[in-house]
Amino acid sequence: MKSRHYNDNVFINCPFDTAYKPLFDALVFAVYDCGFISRCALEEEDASQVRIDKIYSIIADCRYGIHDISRTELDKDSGFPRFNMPLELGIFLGAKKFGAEHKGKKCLVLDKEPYRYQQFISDIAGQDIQAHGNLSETIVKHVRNWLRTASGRKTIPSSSVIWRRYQDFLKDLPQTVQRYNLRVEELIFNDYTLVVEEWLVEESK
Amino acid sequence: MSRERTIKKRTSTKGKLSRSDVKRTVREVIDNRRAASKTESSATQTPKATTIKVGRDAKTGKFISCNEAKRRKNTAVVETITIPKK
Repeated sequence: MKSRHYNDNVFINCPFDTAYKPLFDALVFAVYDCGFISRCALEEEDASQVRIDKIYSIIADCRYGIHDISRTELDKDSGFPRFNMPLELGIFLGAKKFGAEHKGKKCLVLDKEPYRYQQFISDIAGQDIQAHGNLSETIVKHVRNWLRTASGRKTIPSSSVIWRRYQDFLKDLPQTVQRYNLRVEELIFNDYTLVVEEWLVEESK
Repeated sequence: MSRERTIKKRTSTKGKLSRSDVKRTVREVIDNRRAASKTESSATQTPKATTIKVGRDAKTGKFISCNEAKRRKNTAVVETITIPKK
């Protein structure tokens, strides 16, 4: 059963490590500034629910998906590659392919270098994959351009406008969260998105 | 073509912060930033120079009133002096 926000929801499938956090924050902001809603596995902290079930339910509720496979590399401690992102990309593509009411799903695949994915996930070689070079500004540009094309909405601002607003937001964020005795780097996903939503509404007044 | 976009909000948020508190705080922070940038921009603006008109006798060079200089067009001039602001 699709929710009423199905056409606005964007599933974000990306790493959640500290090194990726600046890119993740910029990506989430860009999605909201384009008029969509960011959804990811971090939004649910219900330990009684199996993680893969959470992912299934979020994917089922999102028309759009952004998948960053840039961290599909060997883990320094275990020596094994991290396959969570390609797995979730596969689930999304599977839902689009076999789900009768999910044919309209659209996704953007990001990697850090162009054509790198062909060495480990060559089956998606026919798809248009964007390289962000680990730069927040490039991610914002790719996300904006893709959402503009995929949704066809004409109300989406240009990437330079989004980036400028994001710089203003970054100036305001520490002061905003300081009032709740929180630190920016420790902000959980739900609180971060709440601040982004309210900041964008208030900033546009 | 309409350029207005709507910021969509999630219906349920399970974070530590309440939406009404955040809304108020964000409003204050944005207002403070805007006020600070307004003060900063007005402080960094280059002050405009002002000009005054003076009359001078063409023979002696002595300052005379503007009205007198305008009346004696053949023997006096009206000069414009620019006073730069510091």
